[in-house]
Amino acid sequence: MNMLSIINVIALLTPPQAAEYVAVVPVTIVVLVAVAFILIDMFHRQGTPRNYLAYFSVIGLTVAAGSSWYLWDSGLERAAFFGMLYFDQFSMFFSALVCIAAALAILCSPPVLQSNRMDRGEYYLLILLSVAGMIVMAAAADLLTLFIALELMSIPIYVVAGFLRKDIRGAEASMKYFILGSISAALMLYGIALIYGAAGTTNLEYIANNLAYLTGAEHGGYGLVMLGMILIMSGFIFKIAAVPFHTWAPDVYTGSPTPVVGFMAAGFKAITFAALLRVFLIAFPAELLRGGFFGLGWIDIAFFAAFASMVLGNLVAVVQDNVKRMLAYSSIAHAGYMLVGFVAANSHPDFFLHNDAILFYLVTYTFAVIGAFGVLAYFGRRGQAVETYEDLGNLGLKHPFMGLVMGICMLSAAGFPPTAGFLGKFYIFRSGVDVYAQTAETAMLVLVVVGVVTSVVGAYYYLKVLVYMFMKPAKREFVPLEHKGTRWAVAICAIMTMYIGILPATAIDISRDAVMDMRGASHSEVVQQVIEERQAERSEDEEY
Amino acid sequence: MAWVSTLISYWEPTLAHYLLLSAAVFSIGLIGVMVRRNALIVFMSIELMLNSVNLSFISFARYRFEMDGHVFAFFIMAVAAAEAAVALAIVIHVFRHKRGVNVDEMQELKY
Repeated sequence: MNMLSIINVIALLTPPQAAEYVAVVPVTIVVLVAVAFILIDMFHRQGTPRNYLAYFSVIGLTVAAGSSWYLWDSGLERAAFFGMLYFDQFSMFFSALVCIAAALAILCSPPVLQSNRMDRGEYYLLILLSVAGMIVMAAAADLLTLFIALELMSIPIYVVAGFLRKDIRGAEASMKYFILGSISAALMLYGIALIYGAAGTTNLEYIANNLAYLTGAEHGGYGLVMLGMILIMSGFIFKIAAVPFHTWAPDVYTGSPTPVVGFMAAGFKAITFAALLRVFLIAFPAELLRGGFFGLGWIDIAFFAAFASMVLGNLVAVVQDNVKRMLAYSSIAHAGYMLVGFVAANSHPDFFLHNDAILFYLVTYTFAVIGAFGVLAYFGRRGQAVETYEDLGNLGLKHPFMGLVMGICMLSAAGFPPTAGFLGKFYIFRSGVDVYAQTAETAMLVLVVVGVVTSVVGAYYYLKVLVYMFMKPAKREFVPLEHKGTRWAVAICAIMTMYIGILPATAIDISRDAVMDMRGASHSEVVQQVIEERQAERSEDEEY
Repeated sequence: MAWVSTLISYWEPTLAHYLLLSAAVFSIGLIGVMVRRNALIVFMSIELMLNSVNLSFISFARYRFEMDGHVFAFFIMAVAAAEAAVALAIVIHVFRHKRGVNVDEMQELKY
């Protein structure tokens, strides 16, 4: 029995210790602030301005992000709370990232809500509860906690999507999101049930242990595992809005309140990738599950999703007229780029460390997309919100600060140096090329080439925003929502985008540390041994 | 009457029967979501999918003599209740705008 499983057995037998309660401080802070909002909101008279709640929640989220930063080096026990949650640097990384993303999105929100006469405390409350779900989901060590956290993250956002009650599009977005989101949750749940049936446990590490005994396609439980794995993968693909489960994204992004869309795009992608890496690296090592259906495994599903998302997202974004819809399709394309990193890093256990490219890309994407939606929210007065490209005409010259921020965010999303987006794409494609150079898998080269070509296509519609903002005449007069919070939020996004673009070392180190720390919790000896045997068999097969 | 007990033991349901039933109910729910036009019926079909998952959890748990699956089923029930609350609120919200809950008529957001 190796060290890891001894630690796990101890964690399973002992009741939660003080150190474990320290580890949940970030999520506790977020939940406490949310509960405080319920109480505070009761004592308000109708019509009292609630925008101070926004600053209150920003302070709470900043403290939560700071505490996860403080816990970064604390050397916690890995599996806490009876083996239900991992508190490693990986989960702390994502908890800090979503807290910052939510804080920036909330900072942009009050003027939009006030101008739509929906200045209610529930808005902040729901976003905070969603953040709590996200933090738990990044730490999930068991399919049970994973499912509960997924629902806690999604259900509040179904409500927030239709929060601007007078807007019929909000109602429609909320309905569509709810129906499709529930179906994907049900599919994922059915997958979890099948995995539970085949492996007899829902703990990620024990699943891997038990799968090591399912030797090949002749075993009875093998089909169950493959089907369950495909269903779980489809649930994840829905949440990151990759093809073929992407259709909800454009509708929901167009109908939802603008400030929260950036949070939806960045936060959901980040957390779902965290859970995706955890579940598929710890519970379903690629070597254990290959060979069922024509030798295909989950890496091939991810390959297909990456390829299709990059092509479809970029091509459909080109023909869009609405800027929010264009950003939605481009977020599908970004999901495709991140899946390229996922395929490259996990097609073979040796390239595990390339996963840091995904984490780094998520950081760059978060700031770019929240900045872009923050600028759109700044011009989001009720009845005269900026929606199409033509509405953007001349806004960049009239409001130079917002024009500058939008310029930086768009260049970063398109991947121009010296912004952060360039380095994000660079690391993703570099890991793909590296894998190709070492294994000579042409599939990897295909993905990278498609990625580069489609990001050239992407430059067209991102630059179109800037062309309209700076070079085209204004068709209509737009009065912005003068608000200091929005200006601060988008300024932070722009500064971080430039900072990471010019001095990326810190961000890269952090993402690498997070990925390295996650590896510590990976496989027991049995699993390791089986993986090595399978690899040896495969390399023998390839020699013949 | 020995043949009666023989027949009963022959028809005694096994794990596979429960799993087949669960898969059938899940498929009926999925088809219902795709085919039906009334939003309330669509939500009902989603509940059907969740409950069929419950059935397979319980049957796996009974098969293995474990409690994990039972616990999971309780969690699913709680989550399904929360989802139902949100679902009904959303239906009312849409009804106020449209005076109807036909999902075919939701065409504000397209392409």
